[in-house]
Amino acid sequence: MNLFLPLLILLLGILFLRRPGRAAGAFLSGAERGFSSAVKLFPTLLLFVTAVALFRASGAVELLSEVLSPVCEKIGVPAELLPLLITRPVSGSASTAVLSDILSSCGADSFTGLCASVVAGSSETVLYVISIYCTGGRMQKMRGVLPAAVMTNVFVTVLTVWVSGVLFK
Amino acid sequence: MITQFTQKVKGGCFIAGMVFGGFCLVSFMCALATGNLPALGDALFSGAEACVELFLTLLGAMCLWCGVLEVLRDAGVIGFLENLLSPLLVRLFPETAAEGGETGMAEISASRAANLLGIGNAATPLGLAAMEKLEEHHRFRDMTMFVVLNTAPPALLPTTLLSLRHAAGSSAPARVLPAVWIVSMAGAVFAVLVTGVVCGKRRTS
Repeated sequence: MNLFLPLLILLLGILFLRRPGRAAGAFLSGAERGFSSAVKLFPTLLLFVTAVALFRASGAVELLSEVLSPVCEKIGVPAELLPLLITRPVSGSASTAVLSDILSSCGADSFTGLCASVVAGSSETVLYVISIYCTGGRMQKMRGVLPAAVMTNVFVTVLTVWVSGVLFK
Repeated sequence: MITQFTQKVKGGCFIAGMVFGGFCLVSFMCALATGNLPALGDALFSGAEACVELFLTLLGAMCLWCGVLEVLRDAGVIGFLENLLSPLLVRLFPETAAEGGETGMAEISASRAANLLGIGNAATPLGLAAMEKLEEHHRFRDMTMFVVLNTAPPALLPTTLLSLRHAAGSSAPARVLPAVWIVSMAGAVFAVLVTGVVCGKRRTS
């Protein structure tokens, strides 16, 4: 599927064979640094992953969807989208499951299905990204991150519904 | 013992604490309302387990890609990439660009390139390496910009999405791509603008 990775492997093969000692040395020192920064990441990661697991198990997604669906219908957003809009910023695997659920129950080519696809394709798992990049005391020095990320997410959601309305209706 | 421990407690985790506390409270309320309380306890353990799995995947990717990055940098490939992306990166990361040298631009370029090429598995480890370098030099404005850019979608070709749509019996799985591209582009531009506003204009040094 992706041609760049095979090409990168070819390039690496050439680089390693040209100067084996130096290339391997560079690789090992880089990998060592990668290892130690990954280990530092674990505690923060645990906090966020556990929070998401609790959130999913509590039935909050279903409850929030039910509560918010009248509001959604009023502003022209299909209520079936709500579970996806709620899970998408929080968990990648959960939102993939929700998406395939919507696609099979509403039809992949229905307006709801198309809208859901755009939501899934054009947004990130914001909470995961923030939790992984802003470990330890970093967050304190980067106060702008959370508001900027939340605003971006809201903007992308609104834009998705609007663009889908224009293109698919 | 206890005093020793309290002395070692890290400060500055305010937002992580708020997020975790908020999730715990909301989860408890919702579980109470839906009668899912027993499942909540199980989720605590399965969550920790899922985290270990995620961590191991990440650990492998971190070691591999940080190693590859070092080899490519040594061979001058990253320098080439940096020049290619520099018109964009100089504007997005003025603090880092001004300083130059081995202060994080290589990592930023590699991570952004991996992102654009759709190699997400590489983009995250390289991005983490970039954050470490930036933090060493106390460039918090550039760090904020980098994280916010990463929360905006890159996806030139969202392969998972296409295969899911194909599996669900879509007659035209790729029909959503123009919309995805428009939204992604606008989202990235918006992210940059918002970060500029939130962090204030570039520091005059």
